[in-house]
Amino acid sequence: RGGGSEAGRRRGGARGMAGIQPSLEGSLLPLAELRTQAQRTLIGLLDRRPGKKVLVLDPKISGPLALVANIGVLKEHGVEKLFHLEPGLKVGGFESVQDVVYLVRPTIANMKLVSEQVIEAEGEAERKDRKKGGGPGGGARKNLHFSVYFTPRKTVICERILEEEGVLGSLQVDEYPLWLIPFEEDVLSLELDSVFHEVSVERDFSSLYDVASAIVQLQKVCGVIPQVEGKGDSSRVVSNLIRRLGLENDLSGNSPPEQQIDTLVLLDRGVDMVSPMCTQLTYEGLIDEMLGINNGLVEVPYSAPPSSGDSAGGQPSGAARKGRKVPLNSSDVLFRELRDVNFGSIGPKLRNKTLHMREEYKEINSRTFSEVHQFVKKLNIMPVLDRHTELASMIQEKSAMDEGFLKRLRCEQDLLDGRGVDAACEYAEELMFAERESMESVLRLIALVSLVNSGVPKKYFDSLRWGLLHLYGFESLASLQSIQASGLIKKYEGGRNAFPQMKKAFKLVVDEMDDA
Amino acid sequence: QVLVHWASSKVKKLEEDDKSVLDAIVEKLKSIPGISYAEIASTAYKYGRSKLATRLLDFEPRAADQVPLLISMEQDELALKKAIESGDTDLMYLVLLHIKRTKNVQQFINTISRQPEALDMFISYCKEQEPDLLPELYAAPGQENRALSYKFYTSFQQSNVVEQIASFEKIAASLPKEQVFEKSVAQEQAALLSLQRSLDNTLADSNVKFVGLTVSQTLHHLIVLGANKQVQKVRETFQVPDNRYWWIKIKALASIPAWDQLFQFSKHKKSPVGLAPFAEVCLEADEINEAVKYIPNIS
Repeated sequence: RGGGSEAGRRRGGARGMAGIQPSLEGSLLPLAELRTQAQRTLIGLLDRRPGKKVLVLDPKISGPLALVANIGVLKEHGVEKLFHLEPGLKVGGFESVQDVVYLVRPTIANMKLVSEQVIEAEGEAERKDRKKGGGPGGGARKNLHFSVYFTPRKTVICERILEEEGVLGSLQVDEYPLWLIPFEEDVLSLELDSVFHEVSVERDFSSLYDVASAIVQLQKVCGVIPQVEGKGDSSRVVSNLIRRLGLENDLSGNSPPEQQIDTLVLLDRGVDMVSPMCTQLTYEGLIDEMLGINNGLVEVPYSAPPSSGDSAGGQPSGAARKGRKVPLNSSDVLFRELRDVNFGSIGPKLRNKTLHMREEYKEINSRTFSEVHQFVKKLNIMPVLDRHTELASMIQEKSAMDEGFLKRLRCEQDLLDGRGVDAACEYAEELMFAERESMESVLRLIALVSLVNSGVPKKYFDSLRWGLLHLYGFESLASLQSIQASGLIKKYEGGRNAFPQMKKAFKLVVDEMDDA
Repeated sequence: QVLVHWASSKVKKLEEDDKSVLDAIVEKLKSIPGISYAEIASTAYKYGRSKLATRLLDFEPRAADQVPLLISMEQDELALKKAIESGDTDLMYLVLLHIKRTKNVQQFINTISRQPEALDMFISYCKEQEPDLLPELYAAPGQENRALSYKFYTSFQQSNVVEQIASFEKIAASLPKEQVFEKSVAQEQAALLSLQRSLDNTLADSNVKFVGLTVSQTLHHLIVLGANKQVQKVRETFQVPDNRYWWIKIKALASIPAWDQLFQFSKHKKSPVGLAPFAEVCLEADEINEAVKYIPNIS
């Protein structure tokens, strides 16, 4: 029954054809079990305190958390109110709630917010008490209980800051070891989003320790991985750490799990910086470029009223910005088929599907009962078909039908072909001056030039630099310095350019793709 | 457990010298995994055999056990070294905070300066939690780039305009002429703010506050106000290249909107950016009739 949507449904309500949680059925590793285990651990933490609770989530993890535990389950275990950790949040004063639970990443900024809120809530409770005329022992004072769970692990720094702020004594502190989160049946993620910056600009390697820890945790479920290969400095660090941590973690206690993975390949992001600088052209990629996909969700804006540019009447169209969140993952059977297809082929594919459905519908009278039943099941695909047709046409408008987009694409393709460096630099300048693209978009193009050419040509380097500073303010100096420190953009200093040879040797650019 | 007990009692036998005890223990235990050398070392230390303890601790693979013990044995630098080797930043912080608590600031900075990984990490921490320490940390060797970035950063944070100008002039003066780029940036920021201050004074009745705008925005508003002399001054002072100036002017004129002026401008001098941008801004404002004017001359 229901095929792929089974795993998408959990206790707490069916979600229909496409759930927020991806289907992990076809996975080669026990990911479904990993996910269940993660949810179970969270429930265990919540169940430590009986009764109703307020749950405060670090916004950075609430997204990934939804892939592991759904809100229905949280409610079943006493979560009465759910908030994001942010300044000004008041956590006390809720009727019949005695417990406040924080689930956060171990950052200094978070600790300051937590401390503020705990102090505020305790102060508030005391004030209320005094108002009620309760002296010491007078009136049943219900003390608020605070728990802070760090994920993936707690740190000395955080405990130290809580101590300095004077709240450590009022808190119960522990860890929620959520490491690798299944995003798809073949994709796991740690969702640590500042690693590249930390490693390449600040030379802070602490996140690599987390990566190694996560793999060691994985090995506890999937067995020790005998062969490790990799490329890049960070990969070497991670590989060494895995070995070290493996020694530290006594695996000889219980019988080690059977080996399910035979090779681990570690690749630094820095090994290929060219790909992220190019505009993505698959269906999923373009959706990400235009609308942004986070934690498997895309926010689809409501269709704006037909008008070019700003509304002349000055009517505030606040609703045009906000949209509805739509899950995009493998539990959406149609998406599974379309996601990696080059966008050019999407239109025909969607049309074919729709035509196919119509054809079958026409012939429905001549079908047997079971065939009709099959067809009706297929009809369930209609809302999804609709949704994708809508998405696809939105994307189409901003891409294939947008001259700026096409020009940018030609620029990128020329660069990959090893020509048009000067033209690309001039186009980058034009983009900057016309102010039609964000600074990030302009820098992305410049980075592409720098990467395929071993540096931005001298005659453009300074004018681009100064252009950026004059346009976006001298404060951008810090950003420019970071970008240069990371190696993404540099000045061409002569010498050999390795990219053309690499491209040829590894067949990096594929000219023809067969998407039939 | 039995083995650890055996090793501990061996350690307690004060008549045997360090080396033979060490060799005996290592020989017996080296092939057995999961032994807590930290426990054995701790016993050795309690019995006053600190050198032996340190050497035993070398065999402890679990850094989380090794490092705290080293700290309690007052082997701060070794603890730091081992913590860095482990790659566990949490342990590194543990040691650093301990050293900071127990030594004076200067000693702390000396110690940490000797370990660049620890220094890098601690700087990240200080940025958020203890910014007052940053100037001293940046004085350590190898931190010149960061020190400079920090100077720029604090100068930008300066809310008083006069002080900010002075701050940037100071930075510019402190840089050797080889660092021409950073020096120029500091000089230009100071020059920009000074210029904007005087604009705010002389053009006080316009709706625009100039201080805090970028160079491009400053030009834009000056063009809109028709303040031609100041426009030229900004172009010169900041060496704004022609193609950028043309774009700014085209967009500024379109924003008023001043379509006639725009058309005159297109005829006045040969445009380094062609005529397409002129037409584009007209189209963006739905002024088809204006856009059409440029079409015949677009090559």
